[in-house]
Amino acid sequence: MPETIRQSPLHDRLNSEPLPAADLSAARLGAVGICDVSLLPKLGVKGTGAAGWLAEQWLKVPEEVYASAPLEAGGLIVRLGADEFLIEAGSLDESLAALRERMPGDALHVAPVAREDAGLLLVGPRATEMLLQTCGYEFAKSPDQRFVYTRIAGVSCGVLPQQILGNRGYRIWFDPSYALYLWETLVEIATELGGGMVDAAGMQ
Amino acid sequence: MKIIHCPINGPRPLQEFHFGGQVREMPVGSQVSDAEWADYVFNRSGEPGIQREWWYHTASGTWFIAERDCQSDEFIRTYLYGGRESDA
Repeated sequence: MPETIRQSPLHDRLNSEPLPAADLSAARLGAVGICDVSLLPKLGVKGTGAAGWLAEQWLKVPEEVYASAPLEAGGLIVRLGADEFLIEAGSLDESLAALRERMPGDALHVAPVAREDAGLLLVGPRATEMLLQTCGYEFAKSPDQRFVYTRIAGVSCGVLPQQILGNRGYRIWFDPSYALYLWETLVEIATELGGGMVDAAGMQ
Repeated sequence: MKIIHCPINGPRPLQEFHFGGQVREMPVGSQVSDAEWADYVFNRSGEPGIQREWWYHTASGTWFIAERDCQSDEFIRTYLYGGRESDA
């Protein structure tokens, strides 16, 4: 059986140009930086028993639909519906795979949902301005940590506003088949705003 | 910008929605005449006034019902099929 290789849908695109040097990343983050975080492991959990089972795994499960909460080990959990959750790890570790293995299955009405979403981070003081140009939803009035389904440059996305590096930033999930289009569109606009692609390592 | 109130996601621009057609009761094919079935399949009402329509919020995958005045293009109210309501 061939070994599974996990790679970002932007892998080829990002390997066709060098990552920006640290000082250039820092300069871009002063305007708006865009970063590919598609490789962060994700897991969907769904079912009438999902909330109860997750509460047994972590202390804090968001109570309201579209609310989110940080995980103690890094990463976050978002409540997408009454019985549906999205979990994203904070690093490339295998913690979510272990969680999936512990999932009890049909008996407790808890089911895993494969999540292969592409993931982007928009960071920097001009990130909100960038979304104003590409999205009909007004994020300036939206609270932090409140998940929003909307369309960015015509692509259906889930967006989570967060404080990142001292500014309002945005975590974006969307169908990976649109990754190249949305990446190139957003990088072009970010460049016009004085920013551009940044290295994930530069955001630590 | 025209705004539609999704019952789940709140007020959103029209660009986030697709129109799904008028809400119509489908007759039982085996219990109606060919003429009645053809009327259901091919004919639509163009009468001005308030009609119930299917709309789809593409970003979240939410189908819902909107009551819209198709003469003035004004949304009266929106609600989930058999579920909760939102003021338009």
